[in-house]
Amino acid sequence: MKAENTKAQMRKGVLEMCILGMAAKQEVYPSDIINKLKESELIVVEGTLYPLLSRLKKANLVDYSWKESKAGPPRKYYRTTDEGNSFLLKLKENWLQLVNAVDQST
Amino acid sequence: MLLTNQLKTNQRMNNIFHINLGGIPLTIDEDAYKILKDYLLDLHNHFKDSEEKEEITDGIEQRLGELLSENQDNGAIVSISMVENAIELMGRPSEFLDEEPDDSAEKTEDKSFDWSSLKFGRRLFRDQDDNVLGGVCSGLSAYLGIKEPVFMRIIFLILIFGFGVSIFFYLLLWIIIPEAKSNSDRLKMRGEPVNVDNLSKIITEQANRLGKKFQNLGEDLSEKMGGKGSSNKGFASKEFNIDNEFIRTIIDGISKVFQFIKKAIGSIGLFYFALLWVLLFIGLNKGHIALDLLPSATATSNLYTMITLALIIGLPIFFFGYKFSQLIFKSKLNSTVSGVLVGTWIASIIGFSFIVSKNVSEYAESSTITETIVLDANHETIQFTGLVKPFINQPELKQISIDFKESNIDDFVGFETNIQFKESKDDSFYCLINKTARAKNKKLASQRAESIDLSLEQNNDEVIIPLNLQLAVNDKFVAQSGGITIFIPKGIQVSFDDRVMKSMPYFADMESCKVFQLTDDGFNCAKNNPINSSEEVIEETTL
Repeated sequence: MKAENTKAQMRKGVLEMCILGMAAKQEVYPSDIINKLKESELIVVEGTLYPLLSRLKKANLVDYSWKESKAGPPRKYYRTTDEGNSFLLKLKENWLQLVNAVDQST
Repeated sequence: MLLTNQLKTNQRMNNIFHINLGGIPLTIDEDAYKILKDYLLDLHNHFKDSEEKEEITDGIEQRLGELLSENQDNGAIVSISMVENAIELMGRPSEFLDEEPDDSAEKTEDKSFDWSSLKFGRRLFRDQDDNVLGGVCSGLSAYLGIKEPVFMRIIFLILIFGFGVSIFFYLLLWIIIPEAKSNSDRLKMRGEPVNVDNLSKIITEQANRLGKKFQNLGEDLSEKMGGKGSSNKGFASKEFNIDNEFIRTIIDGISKVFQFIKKAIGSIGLFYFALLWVLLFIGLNKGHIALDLLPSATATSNLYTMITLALIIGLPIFFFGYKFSQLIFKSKLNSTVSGVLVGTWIASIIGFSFIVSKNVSEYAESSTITETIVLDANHETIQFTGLVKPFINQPELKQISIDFKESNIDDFVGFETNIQFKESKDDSFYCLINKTARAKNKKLASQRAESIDLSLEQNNDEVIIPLNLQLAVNDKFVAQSGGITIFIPKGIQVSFDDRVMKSMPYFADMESCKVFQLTDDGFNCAKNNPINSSEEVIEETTL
């Protein structure tokens, strides 16, 4: 059991929740997600986002649509699916329980 | 001097590429392009087992394109530092938080599995960035820790002149050693320091690989057998729209032809060695007697010859077999083991060349001995009888189950006596025997010739002709040869037994004749020779 491993696992879970949260509010472009996550210092390297996004997509929690951009190629915009929305609700519930538990026990 | 140095560092001439990265057009410096390409190759390698590979890499490429194009508006060319910054921002694939949780049991298993490569740190690759042909020499140099690949090339060149084997050896290595495709491959080629970071990285890589190994077995096989070329190649030509499409197509075509040739060489080689392997087994079982006859043969040197031969032929077969199992199981041959195997193989070839040259030197000088034997012609009919003896008077060689009394002289190719009958000019009846042998020097050659057992014997009216040579005890076969020329005066009646008849083709059309007489136009049937009745012939002639 290593603290480093646990931290990575925890961070990954939280990251997934944050991405789902952003995609639940509105359609988001990966670069925008990156900028927000960087503000909150949740990710160290940008590349982390893309495998996570594709995993969420595979789990049918998010979906994307192509949109033309003013400059450059068409972009993928991500949005949560219905399944993703209900999954996010559960995650948030769990998160609050966890935070409460941690608050009380530490 | 200072000026040129400054020119070199500051204003080096560089090619510029126009590329399309994730749909974003970029103008990029050649060196920066190489770094970017390596990074993308790493990326594709990292995710190559993932179902969502395209999705992940497309996203990252587009993001990289966006990052690099931020300064493009003012016409700037993407430089090395810009690429490095972007890569740092994006992170190395190993830094992504996408690893699945591993079983700790699998981890420990892996640790022992890859222990050697952690210990030695280096892997054998071909370096296509620094190549003359296939990058074999530079790869070997990097592997052996030699800084200048030139030395390795010189060794290979010398070996071409010395033994001619290094051409074949090079082709073999070209086929066997994988090409260093990405940055991490190149690191492995030169050897990475073993630290905690590398250790954990290698372990997770191994765990992933083991897990995916069997899962991907089917598709991988079909892909490789179909000869589609690696997925990396496909990606390179698809994603990078390098300006000159025409040249690109030509290069692609040439590399495809080359890959086909390599595969063809590989399969021909496999077949060739399989054949040799079979022949070797037959040869070693049946041929130890032949080995004994080599000029420099002793029990030890014969064992040595057999072992080196088996290694020379057997090791490449092992390599090909391993290469094949690599296709199926995706495992890598431990680099130390393969190094030792290659070393053993080279040593075997050198050893075998030594044996051959030692044997060849025994053929340097030739010597011929001639002797005359006077024969008695005072008999009505001289009977020539053929005699076949064991070709070498060595007890262990008599194991060969040949019935010497029954056998034909045809069974002893290379040992038969050259028999000739000639007309005697001065009416005397005699024969000339010459014996020839080769050895390191004249003296030894004449000694060897002397020791050949070849002579004529006369018992009353019977002359016994040895139809083959007999070598002395413990002598070796060094192209010994011998001839008997019998001079017959005109008018004497002679007869030959079947063996002598068979060894002289010009008697073929006179099979019915038993007693001959030498006349002005060669051998003819004797006048008092009744046709088709051999028993009567003898009776009548002796009367």
